[in-house]
Amino acid sequence: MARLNSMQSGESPGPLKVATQFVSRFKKWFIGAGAVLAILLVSLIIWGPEMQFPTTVSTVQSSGDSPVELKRTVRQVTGNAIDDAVDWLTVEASWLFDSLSTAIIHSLDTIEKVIKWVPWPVMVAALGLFAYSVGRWSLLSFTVGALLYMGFMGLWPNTIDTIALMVVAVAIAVVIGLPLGVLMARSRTADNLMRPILDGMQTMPSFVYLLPGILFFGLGKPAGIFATLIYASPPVIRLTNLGIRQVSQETVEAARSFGSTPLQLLTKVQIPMALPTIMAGINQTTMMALAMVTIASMVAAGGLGIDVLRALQKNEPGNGFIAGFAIVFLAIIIDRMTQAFAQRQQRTLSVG
Amino acid sequence: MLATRFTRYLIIIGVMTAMFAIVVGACGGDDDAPEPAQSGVSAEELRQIVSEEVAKSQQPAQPQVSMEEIGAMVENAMSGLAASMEGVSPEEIQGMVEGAVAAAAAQGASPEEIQAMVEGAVAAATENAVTGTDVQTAITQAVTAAQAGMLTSEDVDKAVSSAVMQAAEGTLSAADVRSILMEGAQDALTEEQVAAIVAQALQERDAMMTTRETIIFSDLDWTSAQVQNRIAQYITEFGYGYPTDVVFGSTLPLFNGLRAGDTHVTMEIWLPNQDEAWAEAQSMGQVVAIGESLGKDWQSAFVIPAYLQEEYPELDSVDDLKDDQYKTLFERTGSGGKAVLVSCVLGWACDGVNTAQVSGYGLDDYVDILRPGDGSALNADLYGAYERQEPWLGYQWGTNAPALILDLVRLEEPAYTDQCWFTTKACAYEDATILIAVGPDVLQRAPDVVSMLRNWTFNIERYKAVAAWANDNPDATNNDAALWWLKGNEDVWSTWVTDEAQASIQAALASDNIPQGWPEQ
Repeated sequence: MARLNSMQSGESPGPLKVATQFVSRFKKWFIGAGAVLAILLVSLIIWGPEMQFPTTVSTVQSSGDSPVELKRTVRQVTGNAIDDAVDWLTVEASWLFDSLSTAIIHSLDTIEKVIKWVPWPVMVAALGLFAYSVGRWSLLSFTVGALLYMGFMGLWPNTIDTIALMVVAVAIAVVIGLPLGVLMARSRTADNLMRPILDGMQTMPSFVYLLPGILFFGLGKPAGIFATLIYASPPVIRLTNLGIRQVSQETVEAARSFGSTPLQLLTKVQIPMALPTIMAGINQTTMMALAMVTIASMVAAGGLGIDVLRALQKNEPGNGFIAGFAIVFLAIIIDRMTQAFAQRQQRTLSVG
Repeated sequence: MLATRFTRYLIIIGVMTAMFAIVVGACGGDDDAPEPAQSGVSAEELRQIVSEEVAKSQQPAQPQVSMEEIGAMVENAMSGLAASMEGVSPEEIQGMVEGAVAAAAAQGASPEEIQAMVEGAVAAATENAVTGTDVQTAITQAVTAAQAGMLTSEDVDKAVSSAVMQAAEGTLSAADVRSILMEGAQDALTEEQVAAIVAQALQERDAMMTTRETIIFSDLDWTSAQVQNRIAQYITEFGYGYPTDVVFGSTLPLFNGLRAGDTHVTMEIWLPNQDEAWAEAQSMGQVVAIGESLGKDWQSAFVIPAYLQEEYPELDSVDDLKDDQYKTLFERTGSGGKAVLVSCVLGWACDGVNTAQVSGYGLDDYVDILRPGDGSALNADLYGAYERQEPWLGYQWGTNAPALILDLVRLEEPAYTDQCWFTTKACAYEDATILIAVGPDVLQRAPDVVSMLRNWTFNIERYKAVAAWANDNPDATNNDAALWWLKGNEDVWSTWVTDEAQASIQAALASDNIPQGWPEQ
């Protein structure tokens, strides 16, 4: 017992020391808590509990016989400024939107016409053979089965519309996304600048940019493509960036030492080596474009989303699932095909 | 290797061709039809089926019941009731009889069946404690008594309100209410006694005020419904002491909410748009109509912007669209050289109607119908065109925001008739009826609010004034608009409410009070 006591008094630091150690260790926390307390006290004394944010910029008298006092809030002022900007763009940039929309509609029309002209058995067989050429028997049977499902459920024309919409959207996304991804891989500034923009594109609720999209393009396919592009192009940009950054420094130096120009370095070394990652990006972009099918139909862009929307409006869950599964099947087919295609590419690449 | 690979492809092609041949053969062999599922019925057969259906629906509504028979039935029911009439007013009986007859005739019931139904309905109503019309009848009687000089009108007012309060709580039946009033009227009670009853009733009501349940309004997603809600909320909270709240949503979810009792009052039920759902809910006793709002002069129609009609003054009816110059005027890329007509939202009833109308007007070769998937998308398309002062042709309805904010002109259409509506639909929409509806429990627990809503006269001219004011004051919220209207139109709303309620609403307006149930925006 005595031994124990002596041990405690001898070896453990004094209580004062413990306290000072504790304080100095959590100094920042104490200061922070003190500051919060001070703010709490001051605001309680000055403004009392249940304090509201001041949101009113000014008050104005309304017109009319018995005027009412109207608040002009921060939100109204900001919102009105954005509204004005959108209105201005709607009028002043209409030439740009008109020509864009004409170009988009013509390319969509051409694709749709070609696919619709081909008799459906040929279409199914061709896609089945393509599936077999890149994949296996299972992919072939799934592709044929899913396409027949769409056909016999009466969803064929809308499926074609959806495919055309996706082909165009993905093509534009790749055309815009590849250079942007390369730029991001080369310049840190571009990378830092683009990152939050891409985050915004992926998380902003689609209705927010859908409305200006309609104001600019009017109802129809261009507005649907616009919305799809905003939502679906980030993956191809991000993964192009990532793919090029992942090319090992040694390889790049080796290419340089052989005297390749920057352009040669990019097109002959970096892009080919990043191709699997870029393909994964395109695959992701395609999947996300499919996810926008229903939203696109809200702006009268056509496609399978129409069947989903109609089922929702009429409270027909059965029809909703039928059209929903068509979209799922389409997604699976495209996903497996592009993946298998990418693997094959990679194999030839590594062999060659 | 290559050769064997090739053989496999050939086998697959062979197998698939065979399969297709079998499938296509089984489906009737039309190779280029993308939807073989439909090939079971020929166009001829389809046409025949349709015409049969149309013929069926055109048959007179009650083939088995003559007007005389119905008249006899009604009289029968009335006289049978006159002796034992306890809780039912003549208006209600009439309503019931008419409803039953219409419902039965639609299903082809025999006169005997209808009569049995009517009597059953009347009997059921007799057992029921109180309805709004009952109370009204009681009041009328009391007022008659007062006019005979036995009570002052103030006494009657107070006695009535006390009786109504008790009735609402379920402590009195309609018959009780009536007999109390009649007793009072027929000098069985002195004025002091009546005053005592009244005082007690008022005390009870004050006690009730603290425990009153919230009345929830369906906050439909268009402006007129919300402004009406704000006005009704203001009156309900400050005039009658009920807490209020709103649930925001679109038509269908909120109607289901009203049926389920999640919301209690809907200020705008649009008929005939919601005919089916409404009839179903009403027949199940889930909703009760207690009046109309906005009035009857609101239509759904095809419109063009006013600036466009100035430019093309000869374009004023749907028939004028059969002119090639309008094809190019309203053409958009991808519309196949036709004029684009923006129809109503995909899957809504109006979408089907508009499509039938376009065919019925013979416009199929001139017009390409574009269907937005959402109301806001439809509006945005119109706003965009309006902003650019471009041609726009499409569908708009009643209180939809663009119809109020923008200067739009309606294209003339053939006038509505039942006959055309139930066959080809080649005529304009029927004028809309806009009902105020409540859940049945509201009749019991808030009879004072119900009778206020029965007096509701917020019509379209009044709403247009509000909309114009809101357009002049872009900072104004719907709350502000309601407040502005209440301040300037006491002569209107005072006719809906009791004197007491009027006084307390005046006080609230004077002290700039805001109802707790008003949402932020």
